[in-house]
Amino acid sequence: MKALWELEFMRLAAVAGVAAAVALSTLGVYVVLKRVVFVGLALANLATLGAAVALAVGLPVEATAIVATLGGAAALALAATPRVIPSEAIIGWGFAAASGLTVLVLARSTTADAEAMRLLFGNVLAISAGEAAMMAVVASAVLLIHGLFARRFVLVVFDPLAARAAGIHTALWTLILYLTVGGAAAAAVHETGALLAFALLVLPAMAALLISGRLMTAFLISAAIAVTCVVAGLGLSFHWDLPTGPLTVALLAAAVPLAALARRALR
Amino acid sequence: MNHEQPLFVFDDVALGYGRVPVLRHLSFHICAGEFLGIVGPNGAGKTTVLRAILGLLTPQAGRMLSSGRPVIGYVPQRETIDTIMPVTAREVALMGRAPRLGPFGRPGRADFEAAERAMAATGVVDLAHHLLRDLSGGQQQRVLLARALAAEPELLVLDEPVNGMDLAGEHAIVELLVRLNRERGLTVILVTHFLPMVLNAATTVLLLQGDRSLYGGAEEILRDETLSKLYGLPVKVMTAGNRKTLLVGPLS
Repeated sequence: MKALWELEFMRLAAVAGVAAAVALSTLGVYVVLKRVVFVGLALANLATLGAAVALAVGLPVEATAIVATLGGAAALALAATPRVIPSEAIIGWGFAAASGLTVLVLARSTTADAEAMRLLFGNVLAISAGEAAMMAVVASAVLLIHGLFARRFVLVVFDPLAARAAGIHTALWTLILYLTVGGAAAAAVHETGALLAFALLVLPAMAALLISGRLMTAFLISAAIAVTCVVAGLGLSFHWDLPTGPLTVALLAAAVPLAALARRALR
Repeated sequence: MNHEQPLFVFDDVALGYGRVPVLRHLSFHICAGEFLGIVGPNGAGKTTVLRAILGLLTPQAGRMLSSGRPVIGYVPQRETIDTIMPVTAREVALMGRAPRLGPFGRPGRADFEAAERAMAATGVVDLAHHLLRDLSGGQQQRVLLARALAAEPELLVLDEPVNGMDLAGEHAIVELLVRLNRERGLTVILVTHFLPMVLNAATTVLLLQGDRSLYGGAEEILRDETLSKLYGLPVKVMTAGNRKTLLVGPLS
């Protein structure tokens, strides 16, 4: 095990993976409770679309991915929901449109080589020190915002109408929530890939809400599950020579039925 | 609080969503210390008026004036709350302090004490550590009322507060609202289908019916002929002891 962490790429992967895990799993509690889990998937795919467009036309990849994601987050937060379809359907539209356009842009691009695939779909074992540091900075910013204003976010997610009646600008707070989800998802997609970013957003929160009877505890349990799975995924993939991302997703997925069993045992 | 000073004045107001008006030519006012009942059939626009009072809807036409921005305690329809979130009754009551908290929304000792007082007033102190989702409908409603009272509001606004409650729960809510209004002078606006509640508690009534609205004293508005015409069947206001109730349907 000691030899594992003596490898620089494993240490960098651990830093980026843990940072992404803590940020996304914390935000995931809101996303699951708001019943908008696909917002993470839609935003992750907007990040890949931004990266694909940047590669195709020669723009800075990270900056374009983040701009695309933040723009999408703002649009999803501010879009008025038609009375005849749920907001989840609009998020689904964003996911489908971004996924399809990404493939189309790559199909017309002459630069979609292996490096492009890494930038678009992520590889946590191939990231640089600068990229790991960027993920840590994004995660710290997200956690700081949500730590300072946790009660505002809870009220806006729990009862937006009462929050508005209390004079709280719910559209602004929803926008900030989606922007932080979008920012964390964009950064994580670049480092870990869209699948792992989506899994980190949704699965630990699901497991935590199954186990915990308190909201604040759910945030902590969600982060603990995500970090454990990321570290275990890195270690096990190294020893078993398996792809890190899919193995970590498998561990996160396994956490959900285990949490359901634990809930049943505890009752 | 000056009881003659109107908190809100609606002057020939039109309300609606997008460009579609739901209500037109709406004129009424709410004075401090008043208990206003807003009644009318389904789709008459009761909740629309409430949303305007809460500042969630801007008039399409006319003037809506308010004396400053009073602190409002709001009890929404229970069905609009998604109880999936694991929050306790105490945490919900404490949310009522939001209008009085700083930018970070962190409560202090005074806020916890106000939430405790509100829970005591609505009889949910024993439920403080229970999750909202584990409570019965009536208990949830009392917790939401505690949240509204925790704000120490100048105006209490309730949207269908006794929907789905049993007789005892319904009676307890009515008694509490009357006590808050008569003894503490709290201004109350109540939207309900439950007309006997308005008959016995409200001092003034806003009756919505299609494009028209009637506003005045409760006894003046809630009369046999008005209600019979509004609901399209015979309705008679009866008195039993010191209470009023309604007889609905053909009287033989």
